Amino acid sequence: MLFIDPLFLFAVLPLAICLFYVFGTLCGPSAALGVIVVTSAIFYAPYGALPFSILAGSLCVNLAIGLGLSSARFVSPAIRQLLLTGGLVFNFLLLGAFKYFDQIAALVAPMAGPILGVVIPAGISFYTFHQAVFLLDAFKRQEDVGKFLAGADGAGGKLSVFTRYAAFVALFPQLIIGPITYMSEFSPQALRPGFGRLRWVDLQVGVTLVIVGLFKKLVLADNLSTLVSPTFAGASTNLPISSNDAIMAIAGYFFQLYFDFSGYSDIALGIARCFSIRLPINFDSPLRASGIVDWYRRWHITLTRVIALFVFTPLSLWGTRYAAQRGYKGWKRRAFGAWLPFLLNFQIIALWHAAKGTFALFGLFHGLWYVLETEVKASKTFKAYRARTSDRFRGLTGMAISTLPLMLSLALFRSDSVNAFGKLVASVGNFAPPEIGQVDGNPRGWLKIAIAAFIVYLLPNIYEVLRNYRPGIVTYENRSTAVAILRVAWRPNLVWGLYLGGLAIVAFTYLNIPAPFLYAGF
Amino acid sequence: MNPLSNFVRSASSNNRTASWILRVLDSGRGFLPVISVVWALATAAYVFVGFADPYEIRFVKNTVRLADHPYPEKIVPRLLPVAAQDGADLVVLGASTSVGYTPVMLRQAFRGIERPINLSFGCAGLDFFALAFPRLEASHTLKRFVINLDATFIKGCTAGFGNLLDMRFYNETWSQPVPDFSVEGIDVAVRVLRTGVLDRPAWQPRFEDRVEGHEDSVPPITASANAMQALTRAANIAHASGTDAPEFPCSDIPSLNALVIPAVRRMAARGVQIDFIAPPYSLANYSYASVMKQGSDGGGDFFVKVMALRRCVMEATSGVPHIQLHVFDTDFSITGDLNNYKDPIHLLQYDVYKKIAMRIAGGGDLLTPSKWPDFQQALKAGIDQYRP
Repeated sequence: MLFIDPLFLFAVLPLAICLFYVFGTLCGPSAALGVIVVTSAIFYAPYGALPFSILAGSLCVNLAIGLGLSSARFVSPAIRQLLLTGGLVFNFLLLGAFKYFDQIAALVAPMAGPILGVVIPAGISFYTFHQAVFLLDAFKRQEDVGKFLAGADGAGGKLSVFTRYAAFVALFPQLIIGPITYMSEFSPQALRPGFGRLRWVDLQVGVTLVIVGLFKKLVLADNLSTLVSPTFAGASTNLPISSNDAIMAIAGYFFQLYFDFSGYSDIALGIARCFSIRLPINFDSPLRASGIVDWYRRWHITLTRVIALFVFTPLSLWGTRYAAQRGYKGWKRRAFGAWLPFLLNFQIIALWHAAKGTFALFGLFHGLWYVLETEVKASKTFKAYRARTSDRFRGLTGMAISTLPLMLSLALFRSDSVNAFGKLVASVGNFAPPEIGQVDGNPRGWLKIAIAAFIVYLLPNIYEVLRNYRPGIVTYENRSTAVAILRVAWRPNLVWGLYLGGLAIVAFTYLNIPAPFLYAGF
Repeated sequence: MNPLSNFVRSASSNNRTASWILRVLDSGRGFLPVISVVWALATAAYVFVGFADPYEIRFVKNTVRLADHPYPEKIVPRLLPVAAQDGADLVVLGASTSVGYTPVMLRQAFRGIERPINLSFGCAGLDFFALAFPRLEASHTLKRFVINLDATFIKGCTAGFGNLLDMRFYNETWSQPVPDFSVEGIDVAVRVLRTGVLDRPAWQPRFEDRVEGHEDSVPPITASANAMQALTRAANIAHASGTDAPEFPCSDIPSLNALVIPAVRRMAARGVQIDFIAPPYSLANYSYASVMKQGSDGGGDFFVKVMALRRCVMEATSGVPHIQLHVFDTDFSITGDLNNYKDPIHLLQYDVYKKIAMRIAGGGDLLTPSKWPDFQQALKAGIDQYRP
């Protein structure tokens, strides 16, 4: 199912919320988690029997390994290391087999056709990382993991632990496209004594996030897609594209991807909050980032931190040690301790989406930019500049410098091939009169982009609006760059009810458009 | 502090009514009831559309009639169940080049036909044809089936170019039981319940307004100097038309042998009259498509593909009772006059569509194996000699 399926919005979700609180109140937190697991199964079932079986199998294997790692019986470090390695290999092999095997085979032998020939199981990229982090936490014998997996004795205990674990991994608001949650974030909430008892504020904050997310996805992102899809398709099939259409498509995709993906995350956080669970915030006004470093503190935050955990941190540690052992100083030391880890980190982030040339180039560009920016920011010149300028000035200047490269890199990300991207960018200079068969320009295109830009650059994001009600878990503290006078604070009152009710009505009128979330393909 | 709260506080000290209104607006009790009402109304509308089922995708009712005028192209792909189940006696199936046939025109052209429907829409491709043939084959009321041999029979429609087919209407997955839920869907459902006629939403323009009398509002391609220059440029390039290219094998059009031919043979055996039409592209299009649209679906070896569709259908159906193939490519009063076209492919004028419909109904312009060499020769000569 998708969050925008009417059956989900009008039947499954309300029913699940009711049952969650009824069972939570009458039978306790375990029963409430059981409702979440059953709802997640219903939510995931339409993706097919094979993806469902893979998810179920992955849950069982990871839980078994997690129990082993956190168990007091396994004290030998070698056995524990073996368990962890085995678990990680299992997860990444599973991901590789179903996500990358056919993609790489297609790159090697394009005419041979798919070998496995199966559709990538929905959410596999996300639940793989989710569980890999869990195994690391279990390996470190984190207190939260121990508490969460406690009481696995007997059939009843095992069922109870499985239910808790399945609720943690397969929690339907985050199952398909994240955000990727850590056990230390989930466990304290699910294990609190009052879990499953109704708190009105959870519902109020939750529906607010859901409605704002639906509006961003259905009204803003999907309307921008009419500027984007025909032009990008035209670039792939060699149709002539005017300068106007090319610019609108590049700018349009910049905003569309943000509204689409952050809209999804808002809905995810909102639905989870309706079940009394706070998820980590995944987007924090990324289009207002002052540079690439700031961008990754604001864009798809939960992926950034997971990849940093698995790739950057160990590589950086290894590189620093390696450079120290050889007595490297200056740029050589930085090359091993930071530059190479950065480049690999961003390559992994890019290829995590799919094994494609455009993604590899996207990752390389972001990696090089990241290296360059960190070097510039470490320079004496920049430090002097920082001392004599305000944060606000530097933020605005950085934003002005970063926006175009970010737009272009996301256009590369969206393009079917590097050639198509080249054609699109070259079309920016195509001022010739329209030809027959030329992709039609959208007469209201600039108005749509202007509205999107107004929302993105001037209005506070929903987490700022809900700031008094802790709408989600904050990973990185970012300074607000919204216009102060527009930085209103939400309250669960009639005015906000009417306003959000209006947004919901507008969003519902777009529910019939068959446009899945852009990130659902990853 | 919320600005509204500040405002409430300052206003309440001045005016009692204003302060009461503002206090109500700021009250904590109103939030969830308002949202709940919106949600409940949307849910009620969803349930209503689900049971009204205006497009007959959940229940077979046999009581819904189709309107007597063309539908907006976006709606057309959804009409298939009603067309197949509820008594259509003539169906036109094709893509953008057959969109211009209206029910009134078809009724006038084909004697004895009372409930015609045109299921053509822009970029209709193999996915839609694969849905349409089995359903139409099962229809007990179908007397005549007109199949427009659009280029999409060869390669389908390129995604991203406005494929109007919404597969949710045909997927029958339990998680999307009411794909027709929308503001339009509510309107259509109300109208079906009130009148029994499946019509377009009230606020959408009648499509025939864009066909009948269309020539007044949309200029022919000849009115565009830029377009004419492009066509002239293409026509002046030697061998650009591709008429001397090697033949395209029928085996490269799997949709014909796998889907179309077996279905029409079975239908013809039951007495349904099958008319294949070769859409008359302008003579200017062949050079233009080959030169200007290299690499795109409609470009490259356009001539050989188009000819292959005609030849393969002719060979597969030759001598089969109730199956005919009509071609108009060598009627240069149509294909050689760009005033008839809005672009190099699509006819513009209502009268031309009507003329073609009358000639199909009269059994004219048939292509048979014995006529093939002359037809091919005449078309090649026409294309090669043509200059815009």
